[in-house]
Amino acid sequence: MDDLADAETGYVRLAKAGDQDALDWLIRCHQGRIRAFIGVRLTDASMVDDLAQDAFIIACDRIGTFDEAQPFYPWLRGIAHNVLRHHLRKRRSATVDPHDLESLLADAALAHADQMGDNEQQETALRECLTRLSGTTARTVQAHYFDDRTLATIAAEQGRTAKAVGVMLVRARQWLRACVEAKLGQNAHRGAT
Amino acid sequence: MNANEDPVQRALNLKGAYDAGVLDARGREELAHLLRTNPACRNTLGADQCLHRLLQVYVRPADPEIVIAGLHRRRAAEASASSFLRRVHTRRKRRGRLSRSWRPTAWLGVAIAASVVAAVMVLLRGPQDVAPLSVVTATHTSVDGLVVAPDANVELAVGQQVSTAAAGAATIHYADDSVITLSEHSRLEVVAVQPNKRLALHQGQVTVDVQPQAVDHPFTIVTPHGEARVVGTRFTLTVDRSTVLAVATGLVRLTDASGVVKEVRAGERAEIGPPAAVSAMAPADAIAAYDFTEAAGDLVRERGGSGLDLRIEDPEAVTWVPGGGLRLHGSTRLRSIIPAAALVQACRASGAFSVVVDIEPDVLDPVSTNPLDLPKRIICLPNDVDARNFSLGQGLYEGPLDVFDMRLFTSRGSARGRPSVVTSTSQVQARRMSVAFTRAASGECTFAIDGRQVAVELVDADDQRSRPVMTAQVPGTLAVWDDGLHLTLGAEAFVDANGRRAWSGTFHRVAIFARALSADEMVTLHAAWRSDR
Repeated sequence: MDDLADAETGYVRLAKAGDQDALDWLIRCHQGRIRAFIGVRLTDASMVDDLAQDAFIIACDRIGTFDEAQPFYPWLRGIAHNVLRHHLRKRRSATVDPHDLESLLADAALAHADQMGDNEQQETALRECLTRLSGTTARTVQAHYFDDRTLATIAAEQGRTAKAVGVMLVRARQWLRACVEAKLGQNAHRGAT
Repeated sequence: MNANEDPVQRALNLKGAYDAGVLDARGREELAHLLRTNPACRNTLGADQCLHRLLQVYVRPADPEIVIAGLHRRRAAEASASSFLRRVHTRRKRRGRLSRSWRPTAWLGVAIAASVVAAVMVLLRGPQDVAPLSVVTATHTSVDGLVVAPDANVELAVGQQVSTAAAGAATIHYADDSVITLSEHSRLEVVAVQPNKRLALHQGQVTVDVQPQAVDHPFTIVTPHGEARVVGTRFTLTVDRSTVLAVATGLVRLTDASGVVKEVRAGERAEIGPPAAVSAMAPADAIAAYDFTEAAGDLVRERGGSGLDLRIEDPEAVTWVPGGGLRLHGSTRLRSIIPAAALVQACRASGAFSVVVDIEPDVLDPVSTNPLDLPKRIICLPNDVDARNFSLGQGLYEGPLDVFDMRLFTSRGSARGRPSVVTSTSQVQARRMSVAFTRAASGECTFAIDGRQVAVELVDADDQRSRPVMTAQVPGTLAVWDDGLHLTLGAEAFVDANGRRAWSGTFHRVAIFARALSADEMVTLHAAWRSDR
């Protein structure tokens, strides 16, 4: 067991004994990964923080039942998964047509997210890959994801059609996905050697 | 669709149009068909959606402290609501108006009743029914940065801060009827609630009306200049450049930062001034210490006695921050006028070293930042761009931008300071934070953010990373350190083709030691700096 895992075990023990700081430490440590776990499975990005908070509240209330011999993150992720499942069930019951395009895209994303897992190196890899984008692609990714500009606005600024900008972003994501997978593959290889 | 077009490429093109909101009905039907019938299309578009969502989540990571604060508030609110429901249930049962079986609609009535009872209880402030500590009236007031409604009755927890803006005021109520009134432009932090009551007044003014307290559980208000400890009294405490106490009734014991105690009685006033610069900002054995309180000019005075004053290379690229701080917004550096010989010799002799900075870093933009112009230099003893005694930086060369990185030259390592000790990602945040690095003579290295130790990795010259650990081992001695180098903040001494690794952000404090600070000392130093803000 490494030092970080040792530290986590210590904090879990304290949290189970009612130490709020220790519980905060555990949540602070894992909140980013839990948000990502929920985020890739949700159509509505604005719900990510709410559902993550629901999961943390349940974890706080049930920390006393956690088996400290087990790793903490999978337990927390299990709670997040249940919260998410409950939310998706409610959303599904409100959906008019399960075969419409939005539902099909949401299902495809959900299936891929389950295959993908939630590698803790994923965020680092994605950030590193983002730094490697260049030129118009980099500017377009920046404008859409970082500066919150719509595709129509970006298209007007770049003198292109919105569809061309949409396709450019799809291609940028394809490249980023390949880059992330390559990095994660390298890390796995390094870890193995 | 063109007969020769790859269905996956076709699906991606349709998805681009869909994302842009310009996909027509035929296109929608075609895309839906591909998703229903072609597994490769479904997999590719699923992956695309996942990456799109990951970008949305990662681009704006939540501030962990805001997550924790939100969690505390919600738990407090839920606990409070549950307690109201329990009270209503009990009272109604006592009156015999409620059957034991509850109809679902009855909950709505109970919820409304609970709200009414809550409002009445706030007004009456019945001591047996109120929260241990809560803001009961508020004007232009925020708790942990979130604005509070005038009648919100926000329960406060340890660690939360109440701030008032211009023309603001807040009344804070304890369960024993002690009342704190916070004036405008004030900031108060809850340090402890029970059994000892302890608050930290960082700035502004409070008027305190304290009910008699048990002698072994005093009511204390800490200020940057000392503390006021009371048993039962009414007084006003004002924090500006000094702390001023005016006692209306009773007796207050005022202690300054050096431990001198004054007893202040009804009708008396007392003042405690700023503590001696170094003793408050860092332990007395700091080899070099800076508090950036000069407010003007191109010189930053060293406060620890080493005489290692810093000259600002380009005063146009910096802004002095009122109350202490220097913001670097252009490419410039601060360089010691004389070489840091005393510092180096002390570190060589001890084999140990600590550097602690209180900074507010600018978060680097992943698109506009040149990945080859990293790490950005926060503080270093540089020889040239590839050689140094040490360098504390932000970001990694062709790597993540949101880490702190320490490159340390030892007899067993390279002059570049590789492998470097690197924090986990997401540690660099756009807020004021203290960052401490320590290296013991045994080679053990740690990083602490805001006094709390964080995980680190060793990253070698080939960007190979070790597994995360809490303490990294950097073997060798510091006997190889060059004592002719100048202490430099904010940028590299030399410029290469990629730039000069110029850091942007605000310095508030810096302290350097020729020993490894203990975990407790890092916590204490962070707390001292935090209370001095």
